[in-house]
Amino acid sequence: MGTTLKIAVRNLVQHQGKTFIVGGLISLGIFLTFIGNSLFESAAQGVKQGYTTSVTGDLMIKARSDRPFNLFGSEDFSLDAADAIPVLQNYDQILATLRSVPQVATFTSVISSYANLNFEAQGQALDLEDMDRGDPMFGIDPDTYFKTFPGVRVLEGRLLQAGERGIVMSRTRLDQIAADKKIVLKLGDEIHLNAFSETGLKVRVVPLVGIYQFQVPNKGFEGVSFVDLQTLRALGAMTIGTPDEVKLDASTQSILQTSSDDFFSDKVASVASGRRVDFGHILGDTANRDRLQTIDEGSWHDILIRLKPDSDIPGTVAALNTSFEKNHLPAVAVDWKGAAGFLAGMTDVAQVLFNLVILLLTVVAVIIIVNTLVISVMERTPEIGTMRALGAQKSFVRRLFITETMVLAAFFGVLGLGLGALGVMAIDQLKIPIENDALQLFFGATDLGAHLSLGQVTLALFDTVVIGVVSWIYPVSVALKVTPLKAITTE
Amino acid sequence: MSIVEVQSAKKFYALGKTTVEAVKGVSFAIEQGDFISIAGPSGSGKSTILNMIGLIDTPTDGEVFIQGRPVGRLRDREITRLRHETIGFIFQSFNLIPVLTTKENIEFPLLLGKNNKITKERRDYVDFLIEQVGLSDRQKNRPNELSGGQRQRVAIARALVTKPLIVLADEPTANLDSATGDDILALMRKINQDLKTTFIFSTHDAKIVELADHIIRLKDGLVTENYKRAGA
Repeated sequence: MGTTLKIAVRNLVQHQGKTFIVGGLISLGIFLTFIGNSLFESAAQGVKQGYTTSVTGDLMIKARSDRPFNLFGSEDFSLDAADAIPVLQNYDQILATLRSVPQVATFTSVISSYANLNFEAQGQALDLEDMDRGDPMFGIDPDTYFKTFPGVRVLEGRLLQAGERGIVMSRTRLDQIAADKKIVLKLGDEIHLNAFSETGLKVRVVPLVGIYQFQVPNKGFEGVSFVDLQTLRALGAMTIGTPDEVKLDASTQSILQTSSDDFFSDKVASVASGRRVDFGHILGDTANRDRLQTIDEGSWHDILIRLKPDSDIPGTVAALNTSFEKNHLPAVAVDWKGAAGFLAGMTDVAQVLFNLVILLLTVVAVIIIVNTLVISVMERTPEIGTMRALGAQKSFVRRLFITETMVLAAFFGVLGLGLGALGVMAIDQLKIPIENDALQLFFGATDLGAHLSLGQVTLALFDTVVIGVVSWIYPVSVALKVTPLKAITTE
Repeated sequence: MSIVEVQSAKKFYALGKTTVEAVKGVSFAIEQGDFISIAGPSGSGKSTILNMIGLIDTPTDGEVFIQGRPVGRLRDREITRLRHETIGFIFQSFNLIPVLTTKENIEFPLLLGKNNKITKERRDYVDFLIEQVGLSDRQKNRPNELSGGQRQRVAIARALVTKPLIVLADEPTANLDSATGDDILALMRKINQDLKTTFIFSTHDAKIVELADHIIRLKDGLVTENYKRAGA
């Protein structure tokens, strides 16, 4: 054993009190960081697995828009009908682009909307409290949707079939309705759906054809119902109305700018006397209106894509976006987190906050460690000064203290890491059930999991080295200022 | 050429707003193999002079020469090397390294220089010194397991292990009982005679002064007497 290592180890053993204070802080810090990050990593994996296998796929293509939208709608929580998800333009060209990407395994297109469940048919009056944003509804193409998302498990009835009208609801949502409304919905029951759109209130009635459950449950999307496309497009007013801008002449514009009060004043020019206006003819011809209200069967909100295993998601997103830009297609590809919205990113945000707290605690711990080491240096002034008097260069003293700090950090860091690993394994084995809905949403699972990962082990070891290095800088500078004279003058 | 030469050395310390003149300008020379006592009452400046000769303190004015080499302008690294190669220290409070055993404390200076390998020759010399200071049965004990006299013996062996030209001993008997002090002095005298090592004592112990062959007396930071005994 080298002289410096021998002296370092013996000093640590000799000054057990300080060693255990400093070492205990290092172990505790590493233990907490390791356990916390393992929990977060497990949560992140759970959330990702839940979303990607159940609703979002690995990535999503949506219409380009100035406003923030994800698979579930507007991200600014507006109830305004104008915030309906924009429809994908140039759909066929987008599909052609998508088909040229070799990483794509399968994809499906969806309509995403919200509708209120109306239980008047079940003898319950319309409750204004129910008139919120409504239940999330996915209008799907059953053939491709359930191939893309095999994680949808049928509990009763069946999944929607091509061309079939109906709704498939989750067991979770039906249980919630049973608890809140005392209404037990069964297969075959007619479900009344209300939705407000740009063209007013729409009502559609569909039979309940199936009850499902996601293989990886997640409170973030368990309320989703699968509805046939025709119904959801009708509810969402997805008609063939032209989006083209129309130039109006000045007189028409002046009428449009007239307020309703002005119609009862003298401000509006009256029709010249003797001229007859056939209001019946104008108002009675609804051909144009009917044509504009024809369901647009080619309209979609999003395309959900699953990639082949081990594909590079960010790389594929970037490649698709480059292609869309190049071909002037008003579409944008986002990864699963962009598709899922803020709920899926909650774990990441919490992990960042957790690590910020840990960082703050680490700073406090490092200050305590530095103070303890400085006191130790001061107490050892005669020893350091004697070494210098006997011919030890400053580099020897520096090496001695670095060795001491690194041995301390390494031993207690590995101890904290070992305890953390045991803790992680214990958490994983115990399968502690998560009862709280918010925590279930956060962890993306119904029981607590923690994964031992090489990344976390590396991070913990890196933390140990950083703590070791940061902690010795000041104490060593203090030690280097000790002169041989101090060895003689200090008792 | 003198092994140590002090020329007009002064040392002033700032003590609050006042300046303490510890050494007011002293000059003397020490020859190879001297057994020299720098004597004087407390506050006379003897420890300060010893520290300047030992290169652990620098004169405010004047110069110290070791083997004819002025040391005032040497950098810390050079001073440390010169100290390691030329000077051995015996401190009043022993200053042993608490976590090392007797043998490890004695070996320690050998591990510091460029040539820091413990060869068989060096190991044999360490064993010889341990035997000479009578600590063969205490080799594996740490300082806190040794008596004051034994600690001082370890300090002597450590001071000699690099075979220095000069050994500085600051009040080497101050913390020892009379009998142990006599033994230690006899040991140092023997080494001085056998190895021609120069011993420089800072002391007000009459026994050491009596034993010395070169005596420098100080008072109030000035040399009042500097003489060699006949036959020295």
